[in-house]
Amino acid sequence: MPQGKLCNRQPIKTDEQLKLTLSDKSGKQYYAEMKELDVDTNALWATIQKTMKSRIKTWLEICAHCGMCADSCFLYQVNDCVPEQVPSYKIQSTLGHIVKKKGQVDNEFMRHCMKVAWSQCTCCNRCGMYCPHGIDMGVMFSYLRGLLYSQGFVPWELKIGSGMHRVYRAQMDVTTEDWVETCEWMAEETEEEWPGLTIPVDKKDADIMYTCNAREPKHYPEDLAEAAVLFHVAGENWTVPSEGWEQTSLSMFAGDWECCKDNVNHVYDAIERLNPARVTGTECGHAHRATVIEGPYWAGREDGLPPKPYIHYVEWLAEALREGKLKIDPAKRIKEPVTLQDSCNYVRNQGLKDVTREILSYIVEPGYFVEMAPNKEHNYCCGGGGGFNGIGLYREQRNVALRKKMDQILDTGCKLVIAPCHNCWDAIRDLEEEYEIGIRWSFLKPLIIGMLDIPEGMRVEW
Amino acid sequence: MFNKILLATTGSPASFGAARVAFDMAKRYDSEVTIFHVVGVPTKAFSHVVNDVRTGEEVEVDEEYLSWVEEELKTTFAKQFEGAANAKIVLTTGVPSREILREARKADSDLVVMAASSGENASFHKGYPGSTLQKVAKAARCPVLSVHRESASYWGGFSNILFGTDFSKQAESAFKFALSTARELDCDLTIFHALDISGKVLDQNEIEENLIIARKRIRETYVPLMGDFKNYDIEVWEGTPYVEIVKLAREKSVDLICLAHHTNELDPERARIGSTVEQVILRANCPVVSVSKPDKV
Amino acid sequence: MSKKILIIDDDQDIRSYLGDLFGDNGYETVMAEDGAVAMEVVTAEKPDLITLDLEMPGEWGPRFYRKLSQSDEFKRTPVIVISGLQANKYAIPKAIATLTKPFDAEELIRIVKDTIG
Repeated sequence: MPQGKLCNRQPIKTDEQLKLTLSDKSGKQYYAEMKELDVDTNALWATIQKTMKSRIKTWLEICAHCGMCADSCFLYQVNDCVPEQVPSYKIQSTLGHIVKKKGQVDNEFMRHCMKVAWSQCTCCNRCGMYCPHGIDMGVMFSYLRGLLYSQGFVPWELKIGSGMHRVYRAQMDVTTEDWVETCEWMAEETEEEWPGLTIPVDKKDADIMYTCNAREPKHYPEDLAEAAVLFHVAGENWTVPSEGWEQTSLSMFAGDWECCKDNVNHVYDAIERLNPARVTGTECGHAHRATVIEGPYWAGREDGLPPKPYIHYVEWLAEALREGKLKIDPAKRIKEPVTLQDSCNYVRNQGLKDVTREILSYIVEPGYFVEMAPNKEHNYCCGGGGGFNGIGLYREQRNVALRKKMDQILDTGCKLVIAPCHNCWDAIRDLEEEYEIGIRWSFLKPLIIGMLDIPEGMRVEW
Repeated sequence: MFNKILLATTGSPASFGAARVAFDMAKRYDSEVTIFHVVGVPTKAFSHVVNDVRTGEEVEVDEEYLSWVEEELKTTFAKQFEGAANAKIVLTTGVPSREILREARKADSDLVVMAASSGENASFHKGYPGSTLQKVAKAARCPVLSVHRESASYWGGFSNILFGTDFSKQAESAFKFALSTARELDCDLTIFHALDISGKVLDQNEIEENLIIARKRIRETYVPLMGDFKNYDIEVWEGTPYVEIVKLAREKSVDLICLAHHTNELDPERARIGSTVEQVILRANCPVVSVSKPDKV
Repeated sequence: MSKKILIIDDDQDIRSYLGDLFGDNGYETVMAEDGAVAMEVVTAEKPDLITLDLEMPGEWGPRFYRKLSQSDEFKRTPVIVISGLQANKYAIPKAIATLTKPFDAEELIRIVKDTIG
């Protein structure tokens, strides 16, 4: 069979196709069709020739197979150190083989590649720091995912995820109307307690434009309300765009390059339209990577930067606390051992390791912050990055992957984990559900709100 | 005033009392009742994989599953559905408190009716109102009626209302709701204040001095608002407020207690224990309606 | 003169069953199918004891009990709750007894005898 009804080389472009694919429980038919899916080997090789640039070519060539990357990979560690989990082996035996064969590979091999690309690498990029040549297997796996996606070999949920972005321009079915309505709702719910609070939509020339993750309006709109409270207390002149508010990019996890570009352009269009002085996103790691770190290149921006300074939420928060726009009541600081999850996507990938610790210095009683080991840019992935959290087919492997983070957390002795990243937050929730180690976890926003020293009259007791 | 009732239910026995009251109200007051059930809390990826609120198990929500859940609910409430002309079932996925609030807002509900705890779900502690009720009661625009003890649902309509006041801002809205219900349904209304002396040993003259002041305050605050409504009594005495409210309600055969909901604690887990309204909900032998906002009173 | 029992229940079968049971034990009976009717019967018949169902189509049992207890003439009339509802013993705490359907006829008769002879 050349191409299936659900599993094929075409991206999901219509709501109808989206619903059809979603209605295929657990992707049963989708994966059955995948077994029959032809590989368009000529197209695959043509794509490689067109898109594989010198960096990846060189990396594939110069890898000395020294194995120094093995111990850097948490998946190698938690899977009994089997050779199949050594990063260099993982990429050489997949992408390396496809290139060597000039794209002449079969269906079975492509399905094997899919498994490795989405269940044996979370694109955390840690190996790149330990390779003597600086070879980053995470970057190469992202590239391999793109090749696999173009041939239709992508996990069911991620095919849908990028389909959501294409149809709704959000990772979930949240329409512009839903979003604006949610903003009104949250303002309505919050304004009694915080008189004067608004969630301004499409305000031009604001100081800050805020973007978020579609999970927030869809399931956890109080996160948006919390962001509004903190902007309000800090006295910020801020806004959200009616379109281009969704900062995340499941298409990045899926390897749907065309959609990645569309996602980020949609956000950049909002920036151009509203002309804010700066932009900040929510407590999400991959969204930041997609719009701030990788996005400018997808969009083909010469300067490699978004149209306006685009900071992570932790940067805004650190600044607001540093400058006294937000004040913490010392009596309300955290007085229990607490640890911090460094998100790979903005810590290892952008170096924002100090701002999060600066925030902790304001909100944690001295002596109570316990670092994980290792930490900062050496920290391990939460276990659910790169789309791993969302893929039913690899749930078992993902649950094994959580063990590294679990051990790290247990070693700190802390019962409270601060996780300023959606993916990490989800993974830590799942690890508690799976292994029941008795921990609590939180984003920064609700913790900060609970500790604020609020000017008289700003908050009405309700 | 009870045109649209939103019955939020898990379908578990813990919610049978709430269901009995909601369906009875629908028949008695010709209300439209929506049986609202949040199938599960989303886990991974999209909303299609959820932890079923009743079993805690991970399930994939599709049409087949939804119609199965709908059948289950119809069977559970089969007796109540008889004669309830304006009853419909709405199912969704999401975080229960959030989705209840969303639906109440969308449907412009006049009253949310729900159990105080979600029953079988182990993450909620039996004996304390579930945090779902906390969150809904805090943010809902309309009054929230809850039933904890099953025997609280055995009244069949309202005719004797107890309004407990702490003279807070929210109590104004709660009073308005109590009064308009009493007017509309021709009920007796008792306006009650309990002088909180829990844990204190006070001089009796001082106590009674304060009782006189509170009684005067009730007369000044609420009597002018009642116009031609005369079926009211004023009671003031000392004690631990939730205990006194429950005792007075029992003694007077009250069939609806109306209180203001307010908490300054953002974290509902921590705010859970101790507040008067929650203790009354747990202990009362009649439905308790908590009012937080002035919109639907 | 034999003692008189008022049976309040919306279920015709239960009413006749109780009627027969009490009749066989030498009591006179009167009936009502809901709380509203029952109060009229109480005034007219002045029963010595009342058996009371809780959930009925019109006026429910607890509401009837409230009215009864507010009447100076009838507030001391003993009431036995007989209902299928699960937590019925909490519904009317001042009832002299609460029985759950299906109930033990002998137990009921014993309670009645102990109360009114």
